[in-house]
Amino acid sequence: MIRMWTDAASAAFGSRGGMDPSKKKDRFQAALDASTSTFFAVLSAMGQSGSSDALLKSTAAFPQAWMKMANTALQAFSDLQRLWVERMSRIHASTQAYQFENLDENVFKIWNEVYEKEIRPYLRVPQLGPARFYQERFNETLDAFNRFQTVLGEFFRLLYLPVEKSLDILQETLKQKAEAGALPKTSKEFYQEWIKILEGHFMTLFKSEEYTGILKNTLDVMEEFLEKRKRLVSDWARLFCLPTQDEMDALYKEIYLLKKRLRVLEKRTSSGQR
Amino acid sequence: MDTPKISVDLILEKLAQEAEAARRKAEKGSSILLEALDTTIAQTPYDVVWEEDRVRLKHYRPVAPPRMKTPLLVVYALINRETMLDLQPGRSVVQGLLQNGIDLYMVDWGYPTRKDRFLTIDDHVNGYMDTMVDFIRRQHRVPALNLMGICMGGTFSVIYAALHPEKVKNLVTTVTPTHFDTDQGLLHIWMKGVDVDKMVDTYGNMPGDLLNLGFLLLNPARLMIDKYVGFFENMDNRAVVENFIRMEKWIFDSPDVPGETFRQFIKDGYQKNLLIQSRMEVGGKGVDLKKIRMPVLNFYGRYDHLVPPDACAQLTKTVGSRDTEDVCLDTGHIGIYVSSKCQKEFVPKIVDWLAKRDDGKPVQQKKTRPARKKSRKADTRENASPA
Repeated sequence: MIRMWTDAASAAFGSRGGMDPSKKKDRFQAALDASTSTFFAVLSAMGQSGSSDALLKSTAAFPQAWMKMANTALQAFSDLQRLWVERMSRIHASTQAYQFENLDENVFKIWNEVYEKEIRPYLRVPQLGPARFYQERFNETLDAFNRFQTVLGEFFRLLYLPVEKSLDILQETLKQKAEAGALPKTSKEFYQEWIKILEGHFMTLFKSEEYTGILKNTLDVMEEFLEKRKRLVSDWARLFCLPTQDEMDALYKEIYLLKKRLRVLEKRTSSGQR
Repeated sequence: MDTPKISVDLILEKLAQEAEAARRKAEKGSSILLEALDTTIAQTPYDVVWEEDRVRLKHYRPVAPPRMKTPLLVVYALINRETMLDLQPGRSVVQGLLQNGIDLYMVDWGYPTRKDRFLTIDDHVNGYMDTMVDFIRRQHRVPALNLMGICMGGTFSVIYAALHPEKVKNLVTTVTPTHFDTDQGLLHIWMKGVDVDKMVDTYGNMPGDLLNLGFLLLNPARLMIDKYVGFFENMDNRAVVENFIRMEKWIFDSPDVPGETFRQFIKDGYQKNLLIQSRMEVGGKGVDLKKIRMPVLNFYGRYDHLVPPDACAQLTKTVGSRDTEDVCLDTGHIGIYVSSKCQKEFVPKIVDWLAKRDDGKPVQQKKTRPARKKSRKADTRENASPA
């Protein structure tokens, strides 16, 4: 039956192959011809005596092979999953170090540690292929952006602290005043009381070393992100044949220096004329 | 029955009255905001008599007979704009000086762009400023002029007076930082830890908006909350609304600061405090404050949180001049120029002080065509922000 079918197919394709050989074949035609001849060779081999038996045996062995492949894939998947679970448990372990009772204070430290240890490495996986530098720069920018967001969050949390504390103290003050029967009579008085406390807390915060440190860190991380972003944008600028910021800066510097030299020359000339 | 300590019913009644008053205020306020408001700033007419790159020299048209021979050049800071000195008629240092017969010039530093990032303090002081001073000296045929600096512009003026003492007759400094090693102001504390190299390398020019944010963070309770609460409390008062918006226009009109100038200002000033020690170098020359031998009048604000008294007051003790005077006004950084109370003290003091040190009658000014005529409205940038 196979032989019959291959003969029929061979006759059909043979008519195509019978085209005038003097005609120049295009690349598509050549590829088709090559595929066809391979196909015929396989079919012929299958039509030979003994091949059918082998094929039948192979067919019987197919589920077994499939099971093997599936098992391997499943094993790989479960290994990967295990790695993830381990990683997640490490995340849990690293968070434990900070005690969740003080979640407000520690959440940024926890997230930062989790990000640095467990997520960041993925963005630092070496890239392959001709576009590796572009992909790497993209990953670096994404990494810098994530870090900037984290640090910015911490900075804003710090700025919110005086608000929170001032409200607590206001409550306490009002309680004391209520007990003394001297509650403010207008909302403006309430507000004045609060803004005074708030201002005091901000001043205390701003003079603290913790604030100065976080402010510096926020600026540093923001600048790192802007630098990375600039490099990414430069890639795109080059793609569209646009001058990059660095190229423009170099040009500006050249103009600046030329103008400066020109001014000196002008001054010398005018003083010489006098 | 005992009388309760707190009359809750009275408090509740008061709160209800306040809510009703707030509703009425908001209603009237919204109708005021929807009307056409006069929020124009910098209305005093002037001519642009010189310009180079982004920098222009304004010459204000006189409104009174000249009282002294020597013209006055006002140098504003690179942070925010000089329009602060002319916020509105009746609240304008510019008008005050003109009405007192001062021949007034003012530097407009313009809006630096990326191409200005390499400009240094030397370029501003020995370049633009010196050229402008020479221009005015030629115009008025005087060997020296009166120089008045504001904030960072004051620091530039001090440097200029030390490097070119022969061209400065009298020096007036207002809220001018010269001694940076102080813990009185938060800015002085924060700037010590800032990596200014990284900052300038990243940004090129220092973004005005970022600086503004920094200034707001100096006192967020007052500058970001209380100020606007005050606005809502008075939003049914048209004059208050107009003044408030004028101030908002000015305060958020923030040009970027040329990167290299910012770098040197922070490093040599806030981080190394070189100026007051006469150890700063500009254009390869040492800035020796002892060379400032002309009379010096030094203003500062007692409650200035940006440039605290300690940052200003040491100048007069350090310069080489024997004719010095410190004036500490009971106000903040901006109040010196805009508060009604200080308007009555500030301008008259400057005028009297300069008049006493002027020698002779004004001479006829050389007639030249202005570089560009400016109409009153031409300089009013709708999108402008503070100096």
